[in-house]
Amino acid sequence: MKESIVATIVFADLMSSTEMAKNLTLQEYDEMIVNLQSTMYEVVSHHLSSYGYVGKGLDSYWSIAGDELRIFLYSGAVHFDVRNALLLSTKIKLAWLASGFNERVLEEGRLVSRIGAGINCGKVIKDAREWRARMGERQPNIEGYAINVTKRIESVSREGNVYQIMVGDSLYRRCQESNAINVAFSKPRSLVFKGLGQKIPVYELVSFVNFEILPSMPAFLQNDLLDKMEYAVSQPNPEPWIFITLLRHHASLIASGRHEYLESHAIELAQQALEVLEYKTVIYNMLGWFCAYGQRVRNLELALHYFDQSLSLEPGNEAALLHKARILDMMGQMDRARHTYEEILSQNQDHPEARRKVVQYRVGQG
Amino acid sequence: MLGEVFGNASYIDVALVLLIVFVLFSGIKVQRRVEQRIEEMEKKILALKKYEGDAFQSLDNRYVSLKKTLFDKTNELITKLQAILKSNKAVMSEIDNKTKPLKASLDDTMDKVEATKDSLRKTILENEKEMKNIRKELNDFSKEIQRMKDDIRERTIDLEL
Repeated sequence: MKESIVATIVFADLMSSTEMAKNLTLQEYDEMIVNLQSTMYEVVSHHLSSYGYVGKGLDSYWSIAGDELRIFLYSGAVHFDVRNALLLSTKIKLAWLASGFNERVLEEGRLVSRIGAGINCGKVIKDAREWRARMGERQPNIEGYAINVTKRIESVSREGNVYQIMVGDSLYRRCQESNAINVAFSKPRSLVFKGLGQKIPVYELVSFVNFEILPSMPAFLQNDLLDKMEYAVSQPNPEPWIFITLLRHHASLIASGRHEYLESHAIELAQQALEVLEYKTVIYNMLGWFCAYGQRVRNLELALHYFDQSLSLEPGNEAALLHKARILDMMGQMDRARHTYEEILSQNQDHPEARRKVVQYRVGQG
Repeated sequence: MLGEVFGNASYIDVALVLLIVFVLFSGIKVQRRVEQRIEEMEKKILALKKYEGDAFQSLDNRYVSLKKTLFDKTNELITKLQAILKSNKAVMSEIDNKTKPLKASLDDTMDKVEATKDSLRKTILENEKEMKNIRKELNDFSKEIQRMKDDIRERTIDLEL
């Protein structure tokens, strides 16, 4: 049955695969492709089943051909699909970084092979084709302009310098609509793609703070993953996005209350990330968070300083404002705390904590 | 002639003859005494045999009499026992008749009790299973709640960074 649906589309492939095919022997190239495909297969199949996708073309469809992965998510909940598309793209990159192939590359001190991705949302037609049924395949065909656009967006992923995950305007807008995903994008670049005949805004993912990335990896891929990430960031020219994923994971471990020993290391890592990342707001927020809520490194003055740094880069950053208000409250500076909470309310009238605190301050004054 | 004999015989011969005669007479006397003793002993033996016969006879008589007494007594006892048994049988039959409905009702009650016991056992077993399932479900639920709580905490951290 032919139906028009809104799908979140992910294209991912190996960067510079043509150059690699030229430089590697056929045997070596084949080994690399086998490694890449099995890594993609493990991550995608495990992720979709863990997050409740039925598959079989009902709410998702994906395929791997050569070094290219295509994923279509159309569960009916677009924001859910968007979050999963971002998670999948990051997880594939991480799994490939920790793969046997890249492990050898890292040991030899060469630059690791990277995966680039393009994500976008858009209307597509889902249709079960007769020829597919004759071939014994039950999956539907998914066609539409959005797919072509996503493929083009993915083709410029090598121009990125943080995540190398590029997104289209539709996906960017969906992320702005929802405040349930902590994600940041670069400024848009308007690109003209061959065959599309018009300028298309493309954004690069510059920050994706999500606790699920590491814990939702297939169990066998989780072995030594942290060590591999730590090793990767200790090498020259590390991929910047690894810092964000690693620091976010350290925040989880520290929040669990059993890994205080990580606090100093997390701060060192965050300071290192400040030198590598262009988008520093999230790193200042993380530094402030470690200083505000850590056990061994607790320093409210320093935490306040980091949140102020974050706010100097992004004055309306709600997370930084919230922590600043909390710290001021803890320090007994009620007027400044109330002022900061009111600043949050000026951007987000429904913020529950800010509303409650402002009322409390008013009652206290009265 | 005898005179001639004696007249020619010396004193020693006479003494010898006298001795022989004395021995002869003594032998006869001893033989007579032995015979007398044998006779007495035979008499005694006869008397003893007679006593023995009498004793056996008396024993036989006593045995027969005792046997008869015993037989009579046993017969009497058997008769009495039979009478008692007969009477008991009647009583038993009467009791049986009277308790038959009670027994039937008791049997019925016992059957019901057994059935109730079985059903109770089953119910308890089922309840145990059910309790086990409920416990497992509660455990899973509490784990799920904990996971959700962790998830909410982590999502909050995500959004506050």
